[in-house]
Amino acid sequence: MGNLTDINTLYQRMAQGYGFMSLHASVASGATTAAAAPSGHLSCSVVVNAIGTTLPGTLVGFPSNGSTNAKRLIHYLQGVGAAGTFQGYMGVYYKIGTLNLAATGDQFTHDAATFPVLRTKYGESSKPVSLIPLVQITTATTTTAPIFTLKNGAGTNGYVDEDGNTIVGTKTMTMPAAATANNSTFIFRLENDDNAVEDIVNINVGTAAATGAATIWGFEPISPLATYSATNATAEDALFAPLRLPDITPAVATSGTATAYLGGLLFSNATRTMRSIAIGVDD
Amino acid sequence: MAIQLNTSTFINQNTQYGALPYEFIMANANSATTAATVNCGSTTMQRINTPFTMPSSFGTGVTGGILTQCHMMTNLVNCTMMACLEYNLGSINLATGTFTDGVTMPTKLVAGSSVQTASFIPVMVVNATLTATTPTITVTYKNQAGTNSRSAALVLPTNTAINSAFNIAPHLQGTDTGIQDVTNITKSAGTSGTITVYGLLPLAIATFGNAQSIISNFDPMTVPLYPYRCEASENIAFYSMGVTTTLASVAASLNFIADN
Repeated sequence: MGNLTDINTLYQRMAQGYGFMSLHASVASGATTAAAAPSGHLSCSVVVNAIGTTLPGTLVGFPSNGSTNAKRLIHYLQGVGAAGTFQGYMGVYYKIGTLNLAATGDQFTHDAATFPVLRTKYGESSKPVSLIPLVQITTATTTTAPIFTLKNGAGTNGYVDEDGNTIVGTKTMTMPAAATANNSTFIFRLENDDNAVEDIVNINVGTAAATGAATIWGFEPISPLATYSATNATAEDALFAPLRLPDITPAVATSGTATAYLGGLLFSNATRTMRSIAIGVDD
Repeated sequence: MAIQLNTSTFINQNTQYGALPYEFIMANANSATTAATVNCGSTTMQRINTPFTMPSSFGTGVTGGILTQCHMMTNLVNCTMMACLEYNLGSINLATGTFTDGVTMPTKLVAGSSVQTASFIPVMVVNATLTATTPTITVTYKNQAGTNSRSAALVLPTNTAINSAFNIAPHLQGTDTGIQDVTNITKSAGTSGTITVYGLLPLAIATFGNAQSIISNFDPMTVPLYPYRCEASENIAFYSMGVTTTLASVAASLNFIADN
């Protein structure tokens, strides 16, 4: 489509039906295990569409239409669902792979899609997207808090950083409890000066739990979530405030099809839900 | 919209044509509705059964009203609401299978140009409780580009309750984003009940948190929903999203400025 050059064109295009308005009503995140310093400090929870989702493993993203054009977000009205406020981001989850926490050694299985995922950035097409690397517990751990590192046992690779460099990680992730609950989500500790990943290649489990598994996600933030009160809505003006018009259509894998979901990353380990409305225009 | 929305215009419009009255809607005791599934929109919605209807005529020089403020209040928790211009595009009687055609989405003056509108939030609403076991309801429509004979199929829950509403957008054919017109609706099953497809043009949105009795003030002037001219006899309908429980009360106040 393209040629979205001015506000009048935007209004006319939406009036013609080239737009979207969807409710982002999330599943309750459930009470999860709080993070600690050795697991990245920030307690997080994965939330996606309430209908169709059974956390942590069966996910349905927030609904959308079938358009393959860019879907430019212009406004994101946010409310609080279950009691309590939260901060976080609405964005796209890309499944990088799965991690077995019940055995030691190289226990990461990459998804079939080839990363990085790609978008047009600064006018250049097919540029890698920088992703927040997340560990989402999908089988609760038992007996021993597992410890793992972004590297392989041979010490030859680990992850690809936001600049495209292959990095062998040295920082360990130690789950905060022997019994780390389902849907507990943590941000991977990266090497100093690294802020994001384009891909994860290997994860080495140094200390295994008796049971445990995780999904490894790359998360692309689109809109901040900031609810300050259970009685008041907040809104992110994605049009006039940041002059950004972010595209909520998932980025594409280098090859294959990335498993992607539109959802919320909540910075909380208490149970929370999202109730938000996304409005945008087809481009 | 013919008027330019600025301070001088507001003063002039109110002086010349008089401010349109502060309009209210009140609705209560909606019965519980039926939750959506991934096969019927993935968004649980209710149609509030008391739309507001614009006056059938206006004074000389007035062509309609521009919504400049909308307060919505409900005792519901954890939900969102929207106010929309609503157009009956067609309906089906499940007892007879008869399709009754409605209107086509209207042309509207948008940012200085006459635009054939299409709804990117078309909804399927149960107007009379169904007696039907997971019926597949297929809508044949003209899409946003004017292409005919497109289809969308939703599988509704068994015996869907009155005022349950389902978002058709995720089920539009291929890459379609909107509906201009509905030309047929068919059913796979069902012996009673009525289903209507409405095309909606959003005017205002609100979200309600955990506490009750919250007024959520929507200012159409700062949220980029286009302020369509609301014309004579047009309906403004209210939908809640995210809950299925019985509504105790919903109230909304609407403030318009005259358009010319």
